[in-house]
Amino acid sequence: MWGLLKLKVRLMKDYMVLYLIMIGMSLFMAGIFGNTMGGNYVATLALVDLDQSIESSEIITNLTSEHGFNVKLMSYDEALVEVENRNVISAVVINNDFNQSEKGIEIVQIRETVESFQLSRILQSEVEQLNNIVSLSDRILEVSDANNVSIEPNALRSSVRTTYLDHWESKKPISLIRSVHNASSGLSAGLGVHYTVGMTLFFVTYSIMFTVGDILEDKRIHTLDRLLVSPATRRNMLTANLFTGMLIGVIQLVVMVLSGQFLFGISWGEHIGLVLGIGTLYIGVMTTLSLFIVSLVKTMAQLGSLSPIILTGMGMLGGCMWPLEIITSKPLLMLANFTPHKWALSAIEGAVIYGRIDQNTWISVGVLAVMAIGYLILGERMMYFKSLKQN
Amino acid sequence: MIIKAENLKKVFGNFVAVDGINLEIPSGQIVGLLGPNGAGKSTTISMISTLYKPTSGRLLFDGKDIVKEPKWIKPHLGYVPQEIALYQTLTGYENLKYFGGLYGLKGVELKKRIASVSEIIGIDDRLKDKVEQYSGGMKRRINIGVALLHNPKLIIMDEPTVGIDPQSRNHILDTVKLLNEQGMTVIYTSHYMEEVEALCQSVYIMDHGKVIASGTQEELISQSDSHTAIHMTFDVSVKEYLARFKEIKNVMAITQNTEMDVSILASGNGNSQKEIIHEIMSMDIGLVSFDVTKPNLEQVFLKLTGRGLRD
Ligand SMILES: Nc1ncnc2c1ncn2[C@@H]1O[C@H](COP(=O)(O)OP(=O)(O)OP(=O)(O)O)[C@@H](O)[C@H]1O
Ligand SMILES: [Mg+2]
Repeated sequence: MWGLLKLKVRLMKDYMVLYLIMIGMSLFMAGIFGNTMGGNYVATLALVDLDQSIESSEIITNLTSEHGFNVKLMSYDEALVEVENRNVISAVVINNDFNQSEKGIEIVQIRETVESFQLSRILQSEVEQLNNIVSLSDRILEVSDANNVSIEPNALRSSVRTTYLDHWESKKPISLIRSVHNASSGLSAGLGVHYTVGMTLFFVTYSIMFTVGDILEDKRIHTLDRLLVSPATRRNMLTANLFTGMLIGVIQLVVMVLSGQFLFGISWGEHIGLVLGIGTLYIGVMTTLSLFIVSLVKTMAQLGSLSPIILTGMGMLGGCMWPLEIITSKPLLMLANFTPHKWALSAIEGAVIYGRIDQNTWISVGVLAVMAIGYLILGERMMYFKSLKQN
Repeated sequence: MIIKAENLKKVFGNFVAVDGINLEIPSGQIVGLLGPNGAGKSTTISMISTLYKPTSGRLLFDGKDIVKEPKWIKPHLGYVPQEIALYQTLTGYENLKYFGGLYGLKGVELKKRIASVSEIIGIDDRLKDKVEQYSGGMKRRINIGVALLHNPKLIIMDEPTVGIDPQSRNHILDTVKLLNEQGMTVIYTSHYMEEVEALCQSVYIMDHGKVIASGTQEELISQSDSHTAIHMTFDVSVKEYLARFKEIKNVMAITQNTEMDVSILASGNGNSQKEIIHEIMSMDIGLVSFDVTKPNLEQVFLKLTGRGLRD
């Protein structure tokens, strides 16, 4: 067994270029996506304020100061032109009495993007927060009026607001959810994490697939015959192949986690163990899945043409390229559940971006474990069947 | 018997590649497996080397069932594939090292084995180069060397000299002899009759999945009723002497090719041709030259199948 492992690890050297390209690509893509959409880049939006109230100006101020948008005030018609010319990501229309009506705030955009999705979430939470403050102040005013205590409404509102925010800020669950929006770098933190993790999960699959597929190369150059006549068993050979697949996967994962920290300024913080753990589990799934796919093909050339289709498809479905939150199609979201990418991504993002380690995290872990075992059994059976047939 | 096969059969789909053969390979011999392309030689030795499972029949190694107990047999078995089965991106040394590792060799012992094997195959000066830079002959030598590292009791060679220069070929043939002298049993597959003749104490001739003849070379030749041919050229017309030639002992048939040129078939044992030549020379009728074609396995095969070995 040791002899075989040593041989397999030595042979990985032949794939060094592939590994370097895959690591390079994930760094490059994570850098590009994470930075153009975050970092120094500031999304500009047109804002049409029809309400012209204290509340609406509060929202506008928050969009600029807290969420890092570049807000341009203008008329409705001007805003439409700006959107059409793609000078702004979208136009936000704050209608009259916006916090009391159904369609209080409208967003005009050409198509859904990550930023506009984030924007709508931000506005949603801003309005909710505002409504809470307003209704809380109104209630206090009612009570104080009934008791003939006179309070200056604006002062009250401002005091309620401060108390409200302070209060919720210190309560864990809410403050963590708000941390998406409140993060100092605004949009970029979440996206940086998303693309670093997504691109790592995506590109690592290629390294794994071709490492596991090395068994096909052994067949082509007839060294498989030598392995088969040696005292190494078929199970030993399978184990050695899975081991090298996992090994390169974990190496690539660690490189990307470190790069995330030192190149992209992501702080994995206390979640580092979880990121590595779930990442490793995901690598386990992709290794056994690779085994299964390898068992379906006959040559390295077939693997070379089949695997990009499967791996890219899975990566896209699973949300490696763009956050699944912007997908609205039900069938696509359904399909995403069949990719290990989705489960690994959502568990890691949940922890790192939202600080959430809960039932969902463990469901993801469970799903990944089941997938790994399932593909292992399937791949092992297929390989066994195949070697019987070949002999 | 180190190897005993009884009614061994291998079927691929509905193609019968090996059709119920029997083999008995004694310890310490070099046994040849001779046959044309597609005869089933590789398939047979793939079964012996545990690569293929026989469709039916029994296959014993030192009395143990090869199919049921491959674990016990594998460490004693060396297999030289028909194709070059080496990692081209690794050096010759690395190939020896890693394949030796598969047999549990390591450390000083492994180093010693590599040194002795590379001396046997005569390639120690190029071990640090990558296999892809080797010549065809060197690749063949390493291909054999890899199978020798664990010092197997039985080595199975599948056409180990295909496509190489005469010098490398001779070296390989010498290597095989040397290994056999050191006590190794060798199964040697080839469709080069000369190699089998030069090496093997006994021979199995295969065709279409069947063993069509077996035995020592002498046995095969006498079984097959082949004869020595003497070809003679004279400086006079020999027509008038033909009747006298015919009367010489052991002359079976005479064919006159041209006026001064005849072929004589000799019966009897291996020395009968000497007496015939001696007789004719003593007639002093102007013999210019002669050559003798002894019966060989090629002719045996031709007799048995009506085809040449390499048609
Ligand atoms: N895996 C396989 N599947 C189907 N047919 C096969 C397989 N291996 C060999 N055969 C067939 O079995 C027959 C015997 O092949 P084998 O390789 O044993 O011949 P051989 O005597 O070694 O010939 P050669 O001198 O060309 O190496 C051939 O007709 C070949 O096509
Ligand atoms: Mg062959």
